[in-house]
Amino acid sequence: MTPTRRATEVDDALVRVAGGDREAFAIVYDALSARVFGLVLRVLVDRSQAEEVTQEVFVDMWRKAQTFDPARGSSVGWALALAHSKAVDRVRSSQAQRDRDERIGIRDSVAPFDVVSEAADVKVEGARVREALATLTEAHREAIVLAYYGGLTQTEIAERLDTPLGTVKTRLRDGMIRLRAALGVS
Amino acid sequence: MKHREDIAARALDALAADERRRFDAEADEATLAELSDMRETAAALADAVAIAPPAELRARIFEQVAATEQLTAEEIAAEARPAVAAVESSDAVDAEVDDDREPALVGGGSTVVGPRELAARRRWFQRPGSLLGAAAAAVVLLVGGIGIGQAIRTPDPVSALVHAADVRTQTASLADGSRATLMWSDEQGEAAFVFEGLSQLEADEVYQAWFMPADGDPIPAGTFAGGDGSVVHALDGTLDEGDGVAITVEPEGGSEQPTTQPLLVMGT
Repeated sequence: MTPTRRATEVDDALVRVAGGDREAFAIVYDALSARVFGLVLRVLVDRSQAEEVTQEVFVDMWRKAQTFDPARGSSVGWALALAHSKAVDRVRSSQAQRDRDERIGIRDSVAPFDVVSEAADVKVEGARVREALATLTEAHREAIVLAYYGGLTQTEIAERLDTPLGTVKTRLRDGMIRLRAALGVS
Repeated sequence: MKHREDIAARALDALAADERRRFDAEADEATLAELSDMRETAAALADAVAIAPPAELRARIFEQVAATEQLTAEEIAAEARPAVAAVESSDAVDAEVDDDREPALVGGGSTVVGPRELAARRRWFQRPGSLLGAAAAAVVLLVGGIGIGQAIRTPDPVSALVHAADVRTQTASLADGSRATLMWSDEQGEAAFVFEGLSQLEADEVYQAWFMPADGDPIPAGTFAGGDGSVVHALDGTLDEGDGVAITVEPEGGSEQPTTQPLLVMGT
């Protein structure tokens, strides 16, 4: 089963979820839960908070499935944008951030990525993403990693790297364009 | 294309609240199309960190989904409206963070807050979220897995709250590691806490709940004890829309005004 075909099946399932189909919800959950949970955990670090936010994400997906429009993007993109924004909202609340900073010292536990997913196709995709990230310059990769896995704002990244904000914006933008090319995401 | 330079940052959630609000308000079709594209690329980054969640989480989520109504398009649009206020409010919190880096929302180190600060916190808490879902989770929390039908046998104000059309919930961790869920209904003027694993106090101490009006002194809302499992405390008195609530430790019998730093402050 190619990732593309699988992704389309999940898109179809999510459209059915909007009509109240609980079996379709199970398909969506099983296809996306490792990525949602892994991403939220990476951003929040704390496991119990990550479980809580993952639960919020999936319940919200159920409640707001109507807002998914397959013409505007994939179910994976939709779900992970929701998951990432909820994780980032949580980490930017001060208590969560303090807890997290205490746990990991600070947020640059960036590599190596440990992939403990059951799903083989996700493992394969993970390897592909790591390879794509490895093709970027260090400056591009660092900016993207601090933003996406670290949950930092561009202003915080600029402060942290002691780099002008305009430079950070350019790195994020150019880095994402290069990453897109390396991944072959159309 | 407007805000071209910020599209990648928007896709990575790397905009601060004020930047995000401006971006969202001013983005044109071309910007949104590229944003959608960048989001697909960002989503691929999750592949590299995928971890299977615990099986119990799946069970919990499915249980909650079974008890959760889906929103209609109109309801989703209605829920998006408070989101505007929420984005504005997080500016207030950001400003506070920049000022002193210590806006302790919860936890042992939190300080007694002034009305203005409380107002900012209240708005911060007033964020869109899985409100109905969270309420359903609170029901599950309340009945501790004995079945939703039995929730009706919990104390009356709490039962009424759980079934209120406008019930909302917030959850926070306390310094002792316990979890506090606040449920409230502005329509009913009722609020209740559900604690999990709240520490036992000394024999001559009690927990006391407070309403925190934006423009007045804290109002006592009843005392209660810690305990294993779930502790439910329905707040005495009437919640006025927008009141904050707080928990302190007080001498046995409770106090007229808080005498210790709050363990927890939450907005409604």
